[in-house]
Amino acid sequence: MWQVPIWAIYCIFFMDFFIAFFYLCIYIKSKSTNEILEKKDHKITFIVPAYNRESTIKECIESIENVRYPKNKINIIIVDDGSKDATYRLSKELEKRYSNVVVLRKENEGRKAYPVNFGLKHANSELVAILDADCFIKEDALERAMPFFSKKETMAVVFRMKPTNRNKFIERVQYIEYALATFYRKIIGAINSLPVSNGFSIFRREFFLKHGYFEVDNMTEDFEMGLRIQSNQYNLGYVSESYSLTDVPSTIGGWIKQRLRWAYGTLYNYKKYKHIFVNKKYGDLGIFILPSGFISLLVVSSIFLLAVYSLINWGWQRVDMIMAGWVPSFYINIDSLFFFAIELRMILFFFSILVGLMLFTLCQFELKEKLSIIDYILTLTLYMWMLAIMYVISLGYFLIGKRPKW
Amino acid sequence: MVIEEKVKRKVSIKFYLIATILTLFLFFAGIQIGDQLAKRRVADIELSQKVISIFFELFNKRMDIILNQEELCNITWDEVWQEKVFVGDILAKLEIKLGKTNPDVMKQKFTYNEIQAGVYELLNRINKKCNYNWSIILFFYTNDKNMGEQFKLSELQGYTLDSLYNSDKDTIKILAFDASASSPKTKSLIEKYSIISFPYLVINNNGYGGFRSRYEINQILQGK
Repeated sequence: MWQVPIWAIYCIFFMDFFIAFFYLCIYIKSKSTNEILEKKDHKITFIVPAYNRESTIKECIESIENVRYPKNKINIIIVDDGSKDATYRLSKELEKRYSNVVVLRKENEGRKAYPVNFGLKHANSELVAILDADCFIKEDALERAMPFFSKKETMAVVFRMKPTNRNKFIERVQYIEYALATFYRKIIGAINSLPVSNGFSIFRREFFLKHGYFEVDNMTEDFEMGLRIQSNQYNLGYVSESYSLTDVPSTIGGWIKQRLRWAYGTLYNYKKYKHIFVNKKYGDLGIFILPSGFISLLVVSSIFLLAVYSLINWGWQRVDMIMAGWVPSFYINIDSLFFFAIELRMILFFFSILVGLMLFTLCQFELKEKLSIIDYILTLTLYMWMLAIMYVISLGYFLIGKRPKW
Repeated sequence: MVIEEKVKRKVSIKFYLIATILTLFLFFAGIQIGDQLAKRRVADIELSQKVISIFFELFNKRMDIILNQEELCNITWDEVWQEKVFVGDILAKLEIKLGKTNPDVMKQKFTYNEIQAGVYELLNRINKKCNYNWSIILFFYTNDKNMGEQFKLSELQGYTLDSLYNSDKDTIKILAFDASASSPKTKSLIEKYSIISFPYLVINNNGYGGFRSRYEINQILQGK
């Protein structure tokens, strides 16, 4: 059976620790730098694309209306994307109730970027916020975001997304994933290297006018927009203190569909913005953040494929042995275990667990929130494999030049 | 228009350096911890090696005495056999601790093979003289991973023989020889049976090349 060369294992550990320590350095540095930014109340328009969102649209709009911000500086455009349920009717009721709400309607074209672009073309304020109709924002959202726009090179401010549902396994691990992503984004945001926007982001409208709207055929148009901003040498700010609530997929089927789209979109956008990779012109983003993200993706996918290969081989070997008359025994050789445990790779594995726990503790401290350690372990073990499967499948799609179903 | 202002980018060389140093430190700490823990076991290993050496000496002398005895059927054979199994176990542990191809292990194995060849001779004589009806199996294997399929099948054959031996310890006597540690007596056995590939079994003095399943071995033992 083919085995992974030991140097490859050490390289993976080296990369693992290096990435962790690099982020730790940035985190410590960002904690010691307290930049006071000037806050200005810019005029802002919320674009709320809505397709069949009768259950959430009211709550979504009300959350915007409740934001602590001068009311005369907020406008809301609900873009009903040809909903088949009561979304449009409810939106019209909200339009009657709130003077700053406008409802637009268009035919459904299947992708979120269409209604978003449609809404953007009707906005005329300096800032535009894009908020999915199933998301709800906190009262302090705009207060937290506005200081970032005092820096003129900041083209967008991205908010933490916090899942509302966390009962089932798939929801709980996504909760941890979103929390870790928040921590990660906050860190890379501190070195002007955040490459992604999400379900709730605020943009300078000027950027769209100069560099175009969201790509309608891009599977992760949010990621593409983040990279486009970075590619044009602008910056994205990140708000982790305030957040937008969102529902994450609660079924495996829904999750697979979403993640295949995300994984494929990630690869697609990596290819599209390959000029950023290992390019000093883009600072840490080009030199480290994007390449390490891409390499991690390849490493995780390779480890998954290798694990499957080893498991199949191990299974065949056992079948061979049983066919040959071998009787399984559950005898554990303590000596063998001890000498396995003191091998360098096992000690490094133990260290990587410690580093992981340290980052998890810092993440909880930063988010001021207690996270479940069991869910964290499940995320790092079981859920990581699930994500790896999605990347392997997407890689397959990508290599054969096909797209997963939208 | 504010859009003309671009972000001032930089590469955090200082952080890359710190991260590299910390990572190297962790690797170094890992090596040190592993070494320290391993050293604690070195004493055990040295003791095992001494036990084996002393045993070999005693066992050789004992074999000479036994082989010169007139009344072979009166000796407590079981005790001798258990001692051989005991040394075999210590050797197996040494293999785990130091590796199957470690020179110290190979040295011990060389002596072990020599003794096993002597035991084989003795077993045959006792079996014949005392009508014990033992089934004696010699198992020649390779631990050389470069031998690919032969190595894999040798390992598989080892598992098969283990389970066979455990099913009937009283009448089945198995002697396993690592071909890489060929002592003079082992070499003469290899030559006698013209062994050129592994695994190779000698069952009741008849040679069988290639892997044999437990079922096949049972058939051979039953004379079918």
